[in-house]
Amino acid sequence: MPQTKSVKRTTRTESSTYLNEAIAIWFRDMRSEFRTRYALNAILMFAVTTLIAVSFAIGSFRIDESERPFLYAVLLWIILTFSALSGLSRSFVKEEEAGTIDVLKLSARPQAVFLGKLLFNLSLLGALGVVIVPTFILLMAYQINFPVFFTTMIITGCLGLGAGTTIIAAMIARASGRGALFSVLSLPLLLPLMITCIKGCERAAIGYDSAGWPEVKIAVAYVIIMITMSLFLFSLVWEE
Amino acid sequence: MKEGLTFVMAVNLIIWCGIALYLFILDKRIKALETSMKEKE
Amino acid sequence: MVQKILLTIWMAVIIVAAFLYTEAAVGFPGQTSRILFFHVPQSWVATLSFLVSMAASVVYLAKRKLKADHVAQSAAELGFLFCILATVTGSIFAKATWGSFWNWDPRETSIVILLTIYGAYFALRSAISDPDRCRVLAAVYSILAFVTVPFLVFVVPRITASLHPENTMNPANPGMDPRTLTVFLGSLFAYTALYLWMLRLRIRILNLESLKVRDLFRGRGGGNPKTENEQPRMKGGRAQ
Repeated sequence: MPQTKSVKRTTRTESSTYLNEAIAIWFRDMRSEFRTRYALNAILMFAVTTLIAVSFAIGSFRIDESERPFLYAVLLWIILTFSALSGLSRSFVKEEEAGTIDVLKLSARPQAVFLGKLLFNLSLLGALGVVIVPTFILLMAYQINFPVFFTTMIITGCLGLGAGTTIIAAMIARASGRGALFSVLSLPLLLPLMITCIKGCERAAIGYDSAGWPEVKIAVAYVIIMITMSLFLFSLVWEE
Repeated sequence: MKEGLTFVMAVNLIIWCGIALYLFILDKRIKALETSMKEKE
Repeated sequence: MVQKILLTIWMAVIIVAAFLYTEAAVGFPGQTSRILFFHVPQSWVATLSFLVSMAASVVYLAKRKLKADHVAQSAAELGFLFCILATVTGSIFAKATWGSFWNWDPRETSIVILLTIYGAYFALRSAISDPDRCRVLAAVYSILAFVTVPFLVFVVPRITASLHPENTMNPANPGMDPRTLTVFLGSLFAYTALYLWMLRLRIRILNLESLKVRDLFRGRGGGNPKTENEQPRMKGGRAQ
């Protein structure tokens, strides 16, 4: 197994960098996703359905004004996290199902594959965030006092969701019971992130004196650590 | 209070003795298997 | 062997001392503080075991020694066991002290997240059929999960403390009373020694099982001394 790394690839020019390969994979995934919209539909359908259910159920009860910031933050992040868990494994599972795994292994270096898939997942999450978060705020009449903090929290939180789950998606691509296994494995890793984001969104809504945005810093640290560790460990997961 | 404590303590001791006994028996069995494996080498 | 007998006696002494030799701590209702002689060492062992499992996983990924994987798996199993014990004893303590079985204060949250990590680890192990891949993926997951632990340690107390200030557990003060302190440290030592004993037993079992499998492949019989033929076999299966 270690031999694969020391073999010099003489057939490829040295001009393709990790980033080039990653972006190529990303664009290819975007294109194929645009044709079928499978993952996007899964994620958005889940999110919209949950949002409708939540809004309907809560809207008829009078939630106390003081409870709202926290409760709404929790609900929002539950919707985002579970929508992510329902759709993000597609990035690797579809390769497995289509039988294109071997070609992918040949055409790009492991780290580049990881980065490309990460960018793809982040794009899905970006679409999710753009659609769901404003809708949530409007539907639930979520009062946010620090919108910049809130937006930053959402963005870094979504980055974290992608960073924590992409390598897990690669791990379960060939396992039995993929969907459930993906959620089971991702949740313990995502819990610290979720807790931070919920707290951060609550603070942004209430407007605690949140000088320094501590939760955003924690979320950013999470993103950096998860991506770094994933880059280190990905080749072990990817190669056989 | 003291009588209740002695009771709980006694239950704990019995449970612990059971666990320790089980571990000793397990240890003996493993050792037997290990020596029989070694002999075959 | 002698050490194991000594350990048995030592633990019995600790049990007696925990109930009869020490006085119940003042701040807690009734005799409930006594559970801390057992609860804290259990959660300490659960965390220690996680560390051992992660370290063994690193060794396995670096050197691919089968025994390292056995250590990782055994440590995960034992860690799971002690984690359950810690959660249950902690929950009993919470019920007696604060009236409800579960309060989500920082320590409780951390131990539950550790529980989910262990559970996910075993779900992963049982879902992958190829043994080599199973070991590699489990090792990768162990490392990833460990990396999220600092976030738990630093993030959760800050966040949950501000939400529920009155519920922060404070069992870290058994140093009040010299007797309590001695018994506590003695219990810590006893539990660690017990853990190491159980760990070694489990590792030996796994090692034996893999030897048995290896022998089966080499055609030297199943290893059961009772059922095996006593005819001398040619050492044909073994590479000289």
